[in-house]
Amino acid sequence: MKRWLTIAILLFLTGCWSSKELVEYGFVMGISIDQTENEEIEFHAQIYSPAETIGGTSGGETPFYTNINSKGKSVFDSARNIPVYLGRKAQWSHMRVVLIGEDFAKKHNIGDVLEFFYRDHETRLMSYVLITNRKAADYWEMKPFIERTISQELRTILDSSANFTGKSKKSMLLNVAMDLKSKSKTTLIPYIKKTDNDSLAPVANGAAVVQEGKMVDYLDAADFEKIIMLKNEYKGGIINFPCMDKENDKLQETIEVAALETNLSPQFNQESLSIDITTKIDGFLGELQCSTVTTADEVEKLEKHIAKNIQDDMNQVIHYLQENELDVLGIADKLYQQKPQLWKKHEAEWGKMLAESEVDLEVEVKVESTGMAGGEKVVEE
Amino acid sequence: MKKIEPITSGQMASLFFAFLLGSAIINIPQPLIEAAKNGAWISVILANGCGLVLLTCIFYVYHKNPELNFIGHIQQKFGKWLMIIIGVPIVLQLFLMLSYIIIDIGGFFTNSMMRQTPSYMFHFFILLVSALTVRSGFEVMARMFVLLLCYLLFFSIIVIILTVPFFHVDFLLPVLPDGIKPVLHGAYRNFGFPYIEITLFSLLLPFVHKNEGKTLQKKMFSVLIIHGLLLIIAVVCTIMAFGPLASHLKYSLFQLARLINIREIVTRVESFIGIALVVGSYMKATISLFILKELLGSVFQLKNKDILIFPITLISLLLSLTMFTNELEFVEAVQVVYPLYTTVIVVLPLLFITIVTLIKGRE
Amino acid sequence: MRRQIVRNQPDVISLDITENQKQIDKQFTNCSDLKLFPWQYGPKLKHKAFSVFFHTMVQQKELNYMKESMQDLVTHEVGPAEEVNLEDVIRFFSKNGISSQNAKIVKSFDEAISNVLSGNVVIFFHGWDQALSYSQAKQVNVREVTEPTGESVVKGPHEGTVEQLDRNIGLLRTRLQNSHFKMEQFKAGGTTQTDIAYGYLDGVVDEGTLAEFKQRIKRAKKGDILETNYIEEVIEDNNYSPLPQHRYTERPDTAIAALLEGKIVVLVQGTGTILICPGLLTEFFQVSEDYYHRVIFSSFIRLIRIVAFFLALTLPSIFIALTTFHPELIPTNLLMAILDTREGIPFPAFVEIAIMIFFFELLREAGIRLPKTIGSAVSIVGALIIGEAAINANIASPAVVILVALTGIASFAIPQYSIAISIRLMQIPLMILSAILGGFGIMIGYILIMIHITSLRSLGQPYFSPLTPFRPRQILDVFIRAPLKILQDSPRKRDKRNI
Repeated sequence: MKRWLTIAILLFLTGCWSSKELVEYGFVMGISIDQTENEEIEFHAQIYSPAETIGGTSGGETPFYTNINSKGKSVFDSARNIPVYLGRKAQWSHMRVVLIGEDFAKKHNIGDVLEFFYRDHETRLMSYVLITNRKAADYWEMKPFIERTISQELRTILDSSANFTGKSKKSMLLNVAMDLKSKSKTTLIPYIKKTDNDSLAPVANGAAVVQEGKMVDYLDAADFEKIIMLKNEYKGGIINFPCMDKENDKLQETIEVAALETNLSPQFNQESLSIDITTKIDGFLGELQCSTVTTADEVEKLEKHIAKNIQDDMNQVIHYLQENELDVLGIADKLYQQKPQLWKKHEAEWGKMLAESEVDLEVEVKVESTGMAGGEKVVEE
Repeated sequence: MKKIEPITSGQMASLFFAFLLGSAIINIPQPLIEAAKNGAWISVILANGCGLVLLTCIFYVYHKNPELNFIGHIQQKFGKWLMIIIGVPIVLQLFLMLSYIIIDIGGFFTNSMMRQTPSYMFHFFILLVSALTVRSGFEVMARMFVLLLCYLLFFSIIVIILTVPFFHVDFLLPVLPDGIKPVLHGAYRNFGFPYIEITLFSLLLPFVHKNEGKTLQKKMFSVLIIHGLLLIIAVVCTIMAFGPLASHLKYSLFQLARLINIREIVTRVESFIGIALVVGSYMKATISLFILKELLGSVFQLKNKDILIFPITLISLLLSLTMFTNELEFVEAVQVVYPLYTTVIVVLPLLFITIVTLIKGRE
Repeated sequence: MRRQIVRNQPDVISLDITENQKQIDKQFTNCSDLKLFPWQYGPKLKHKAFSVFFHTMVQQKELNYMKESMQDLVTHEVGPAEEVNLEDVIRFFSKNGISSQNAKIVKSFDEAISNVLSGNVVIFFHGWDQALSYSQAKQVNVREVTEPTGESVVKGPHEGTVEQLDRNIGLLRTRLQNSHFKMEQFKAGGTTQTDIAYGYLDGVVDEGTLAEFKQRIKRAKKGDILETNYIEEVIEDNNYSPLPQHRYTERPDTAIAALLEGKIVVLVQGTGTILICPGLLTEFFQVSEDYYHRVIFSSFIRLIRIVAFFLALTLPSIFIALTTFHPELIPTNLLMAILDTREGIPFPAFVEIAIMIFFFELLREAGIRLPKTIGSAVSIVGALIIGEAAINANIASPAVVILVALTGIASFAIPQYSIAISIRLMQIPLMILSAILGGFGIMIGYILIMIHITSLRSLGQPYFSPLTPFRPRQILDVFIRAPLKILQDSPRKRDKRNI
């Protein structure tokens, strides 16, 4: 009997080290990393602040978040400073977004600051990473439209943009690390900016190209759309194309993309590189401004027109990438996967090889149907 | 002491599976991928092959006399002293193995979920529960582990299935960018952990019903092959999901489970994998404790072997807390040293007795 | 240490009727419901006799059975009533003459006393050293056969057992009209001398289990038996385990189903609960109604019960572990909802849940004792106080109240009451473990519970069968309810290895 008593007492005396009530935590919704003048890291965190529910009804106009900023020499240092300001320990497992300021990304290797998020046990690889126009900390001043916090809204903005418009993508910590560690060492991180210079609403617009950890370039939404198509990650959206006849080429017609598939096969010879790309697009007619699509021939003509348009745009973007030696499409990986020895030979001068490679692009468009209305414009002039 | 009743071949096969899967599931495949990169699955095949060879030797000796394990055979053919000379290092090795398992699971918990809790709490509780299980008898162990094993397999497979959206098959290429040497390195690591421990498990074979020898052989071989397949699947899925990161992220199966996020509801299921890891380690620790108790009991010629349980547990607890000053020493001990000296201490006597039996059989 | 009741009475019935009368008076002093009824018979009413009975146990109408027997004697054997003498009586009854009321011959005083105590009418004759005992008189007011309150079904027989042993055995016999249905009866209990009966289906019941049972039930002869639980405690393997090792039922159809599976049923005079031994863990989730509904529906309900079992056992511990140790394991949106409710609550999660569970148990216990008229007031009080007011005062959080209510409801969904209460008991150590060590603590708790379950035996059979040791044929009745043609098809192979 005494034996059990001592064991029981021992168990209770020891205390519970990892035990913390929910109210002792401050759940971090998002953080932002900026550069200060004297090379320190400026670190802002948005913490979820639960609504005081008194009697089951929620309180007044208090927002659901508070913003804390701290400065430190390293990310972990700043992170551990949060209790000094907030009064609660930060909990990282529900972090929604990581915002990195543009200036910071251009000058530093973002892998340095993201290291904390890979190694800590609470953080998860599923947080989204974004690069912001100007200072990242400004984004925390914004009020969300529908969600409770701007972090959650940013996350939903990225999700819906990637799924429905193709103008941006979602990039998780996982993707960033995987891409930066792959042979092409290049990743695309979505870019957000303010809608107007003074407004307080963010908009996702294209992506930043990060190579070897530093931001080297920016692709706006239109270019980005084509890149995503080429990478075979396009999930849905619309494609604009100008009218077929020359007088009306200011008018734009649209198709809605149902499915898009791209096949990218690089051909490696000993010295040179040629890339074959075929893109197949299935779509529905979205808007008609000047064409009429009533016979099979007319549909074919329209399809070819759309395909040529997209092809031209894509070729432009590919040229741009080649000139700037940006291996956004991950061709280095493909070479490494198929012919690792060849890759090792050409690793040093990969950029030049990419610039000199021949790209053969072919786009096929199929218009499945004209939607719920017939093949002519509904309201004529 | 309760007389140990024999168990069925099905239960013995489940124990075997639990033993193999137990602590392998925590760490593998990260060390393998670290060593062998994309060829890690070939390493598994190689190590599994060695395991099959060992199992064949074991069964060859077993069929000659199902009542004795291979140490008993040594005693039978060469007398008591050789058995003690061979038995004592094996006992020491078992102590080490038990402590390693505990350190492993303690390390997992303090790293991933509860950092502030000191590791001795985890060590203490797992060892306590293991000791209680061994105390309540071999049949209880056998019965319980069948159920726990089902849980383990079920959740591992569900997690792997749910992570399919994250797979990029092209990460599997190139297979052997740096030649065959990394693959052999990976095979060396995999062999030490867990395949070499088949030899230690064979000490339990006499506990099966005598007339089930043939079915036992079939079942144990199939278990070994299935286990190899499972490891290969785990390795391949890790590579496909994480690509170049696969060699960096520790506790691969756990991290895989962290990726799952279906409509924000089926998310954070790594808790189930965490439970599976603890349960697996617990099973392996319990079986090792039991083997150790039996072996020590027969070395000392004790009639009531149960009194050894708590002293062994205490020694293991102390060992697990004090053996290594930091994590990397432990990692080096397991990956570099352990396969080598286990081979010397356990595999060589096994091969020795097999060859002797072979020769004597021909005369 | 109970004081033993010492008997000292003569063993033999004396030939002298006054001697017998004196002994009866001495034995039954202060028993005011004992009636001693002297009467005379024979030529010139010279022969003496007397009847002894408890008038509280005997029907008032048919007091003197002797008259009937006497008439039969007279009409069939001898001449007119005046000519009957003792030798005729002795001859008639010793040779088992036919009479419309049949009597049994009682040979010793002990037996006579025990017959009187059973409710028989015992008649002593002057000059005869044996006595007669009429048992048709026994009639105590009994309850009508109604549906048992704890085990009602929607579809199926609504009969339940009553308190009389004979009637209950009768209810069983009509349903199992087979001569292999054996029923053995004996008196047990030092002071109470209760009738105990146990039955089994010969040929289906396992020989070893039956032998083990017979050996254990011998221990019941010493103590006092009031209810079948007394017997259960005597024959069970582990008195201290929270898990019940035998089943109870008040429905004859459940008992018959159990008999057909090879179980042994025990009935006790004075109570309607039938004990079914051995009881395995998986059987506690089976109800006779499962077999009266369709296969798919019954399987679905079975699964719900098993889920209810796990919920009742671990839901509080999981909540404590998640909110205090592992907030990273809660999905984000759910976490936001919980956070909103927990802000401002003065207690830590463990204390709050403990208080709520305590209130719940109090309510439940109070609800059992209250008469029906106040019962509704208790539910109103419970709902208002614990529910609304506590939440409004920010003392309890809505999430916890929901949790505790769900746990309670889940434990009521389990058909056997004995295992439902044991689950509520096992919640508490699990909660403590989870408060100390979080998820790890729950795991340790579960492993300890599993060790206990797998090492437990019920009458020698492993408790967790058919899950382990694995019996594939019987699994079909655990998680799902397979169609009857599969369940009743081939004879069950009994596995000789007791693993």
